[in-house]
Amino acid sequence: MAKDWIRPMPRAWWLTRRTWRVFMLRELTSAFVAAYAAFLLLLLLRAREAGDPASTVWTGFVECLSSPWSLAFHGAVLAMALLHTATWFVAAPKALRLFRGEEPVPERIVVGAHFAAWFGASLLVAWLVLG
Amino acid sequence: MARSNEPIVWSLFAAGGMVAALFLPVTVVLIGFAVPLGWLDAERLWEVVHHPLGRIFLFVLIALSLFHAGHRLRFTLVDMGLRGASHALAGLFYGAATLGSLLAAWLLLT
Repeated sequence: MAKDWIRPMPRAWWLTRRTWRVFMLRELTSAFVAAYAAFLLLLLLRAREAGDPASTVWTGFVECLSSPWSLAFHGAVLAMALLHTATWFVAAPKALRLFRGEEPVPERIVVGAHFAAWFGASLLVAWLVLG
Repeated sequence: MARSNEPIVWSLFAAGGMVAALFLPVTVVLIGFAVPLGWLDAERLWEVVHHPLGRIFLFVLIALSLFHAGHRLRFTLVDMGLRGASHALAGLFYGAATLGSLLAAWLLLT
């Protein structure tokens, strides 16, 4: 394939329009998704290090979850995770074209089904963990 | 036609996007807010993390989230102007996702 010429773009092109800023914010949710995966790895490392639920390594780690730093981190991750969830489901009909007979299933039905599944899955996990 | 790993990384991106969309918010709420509120104590969290279902859940969530985020961050940085570094970014992000997944597997299986 020949090397295509690429029009030079200003470094901050994505800041110049609202739709591009929203697009970039949506893409940046992935940095928070990755950060939380890394945090979960840290939690598992602490559990491995502790070896026992009564170990101060574990109880100390769990106590740290109530610190202002942890609350701020979890608040930021939650906001970006919810933005990821909402934008992912809204985009879902673009990837998933469903037909009932000849008629396409309306996009809002596909989006609504995703939100319903999310609600159900969240309740199930919360119930299994807390219940 | 040149062989491409695009279908593989795109599938991991899509699967990770769906898993993170469905399960990340509730996970963040449980660990980050239910624990400080006292709804979930250290011992119960320990049980959940060591339960077979909890282990499978965490492995899938961690590994697929990493591949999802790696793919998306790679193309976000390319869009931000690092076009020439696309292959280096691929190696960096998919490599980090692979290492993170292996670490998760080791921590959860052994």
